[in-house]
Amino acid sequence: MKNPIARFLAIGAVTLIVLIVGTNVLAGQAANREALAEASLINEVLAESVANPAITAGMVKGNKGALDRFDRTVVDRLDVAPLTRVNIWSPDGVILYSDIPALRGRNFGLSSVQQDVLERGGTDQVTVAAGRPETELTQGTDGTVQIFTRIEARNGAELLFEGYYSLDDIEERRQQIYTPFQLITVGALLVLLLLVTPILRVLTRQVSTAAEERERLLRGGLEASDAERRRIARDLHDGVVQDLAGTSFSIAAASREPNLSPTVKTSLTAANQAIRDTLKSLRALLAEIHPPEIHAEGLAAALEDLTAPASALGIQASISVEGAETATDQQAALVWRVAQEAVRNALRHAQASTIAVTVRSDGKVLVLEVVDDGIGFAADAAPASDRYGLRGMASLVRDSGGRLRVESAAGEGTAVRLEVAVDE
Amino acid sequence: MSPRSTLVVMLSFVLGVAALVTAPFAAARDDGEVVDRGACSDGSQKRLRIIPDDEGRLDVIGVVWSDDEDLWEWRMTHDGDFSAKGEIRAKDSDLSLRVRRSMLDFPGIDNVAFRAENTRTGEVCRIDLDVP
Repeated sequence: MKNPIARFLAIGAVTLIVLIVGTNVLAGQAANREALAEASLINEVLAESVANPAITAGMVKGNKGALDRFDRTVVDRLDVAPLTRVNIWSPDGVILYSDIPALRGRNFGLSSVQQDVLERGGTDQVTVAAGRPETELTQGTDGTVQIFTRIEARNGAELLFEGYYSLDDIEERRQQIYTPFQLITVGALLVLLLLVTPILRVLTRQVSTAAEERERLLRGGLEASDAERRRIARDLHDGVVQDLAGTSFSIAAASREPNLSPTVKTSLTAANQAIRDTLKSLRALLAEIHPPEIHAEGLAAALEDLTAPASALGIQASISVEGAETATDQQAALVWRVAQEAVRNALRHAQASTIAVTVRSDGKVLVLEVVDDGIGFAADAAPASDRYGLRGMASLVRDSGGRLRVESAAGEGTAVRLEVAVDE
Repeated sequence: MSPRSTLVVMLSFVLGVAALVTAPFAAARDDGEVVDRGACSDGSQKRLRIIPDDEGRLDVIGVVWSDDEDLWEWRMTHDGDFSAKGEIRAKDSDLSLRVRRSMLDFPGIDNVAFRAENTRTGEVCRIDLDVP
């Protein structure tokens, strides 16, 4: 994903999702605690403000008339969500008052939690797990929370007010508490993302413009440098090279004079050979100063020029070009530039005795291999300048849609392999 | 059939008819509703009707047809324990007074009693029912 805005949006979306999930979990837990705390508070209020004032001594004794009066007083005021059931327990475990007729007046004993609340006071709660074996007391209480609050009646008796609260209602309340937090969190992040995206877009455009300007300047510098190189190469070619070529022809002609002594003839032939070697080196230098316009059909000759200095260094160079005719000029130029860098490294650093430059194509992929039998190098031990050159090559090849691989090891030579797809 | 057996059958028939004629007019219906009615101490008519609901409560309705507009004091008890009381004057078109209260339905039999007393004449209407 090259577009920085798309990358930012993708990272932002992932971050948003992670934050939403995280805040969902945390806010959900907090909202759950808050909803349960709210249910506990409701239970306390109902116990203290609704039930307690209506409790009489007769009710504590279990008198049915007193319980009727209590029921008529509180029944409407206890009809509040999320309360689903009410029991009022005596300290000895008798249910004095209940919504469920079958439980009224019966002794079920107190659980440890109930006893604890009755002794310590305050409020506590127990969640009735779904699927728990039901007893007559717990029948129909699946999916509820039991909340206990101690009541101190006016006659001094201590009773236990037990409320059953629907978990569905608590969940609904939890959602009511939680939804605004969710909206705030997600909304804020979305707004941030929406605000930052155009800013990033502007900044990216500025950076792109700056990069384009830098590239334009660089290209201008390169073109100027290229023009200067071309001028120097032309001057050398039209001046020194022509002069040397003329001198070579003259010496060759002079050496063929029949009345020359063998000694002079030998000296002239040697001088002519020296001049021809110099011409070869000069042509290679010219090729390096200003690479020629490379075409597929001229690739072999251009590669020959590249390896021309090898013979002067005592290195045997071989060139093989097969099936490169279908390559475009750009692909031929790429092959030449990679070969130039690889051959230059081999000549300067490899201490090789042979260099083989091979170009072949099967009609689909154009392959260049520059292989030497030199000292090679460990991948991390190449000289800095070479690393830079290799990187430059790699970058050049990558930009052209090709693939470059350099294989080398200390003492085992170096192989540079370029692959580039040939356009159909 | 021996004379002894004939005497036993005859006696059973007579006692059965007598029981049906003299028993208070109380009846229980399939939906659990129980009703009793009868005469008060000075000619007024009384009725107690108890209807269990689905929420574990008894809908208790006491009625007195007094044929006057006197003030009556009334009282309800639940297994002998005072449950509700008040004063009421017969104002319906048929000069009856009607009291309706809710009571808790406990496991086992609930005994509910309704008593009304005319504050002017002292006539007393008392009626009670067992709700299974």
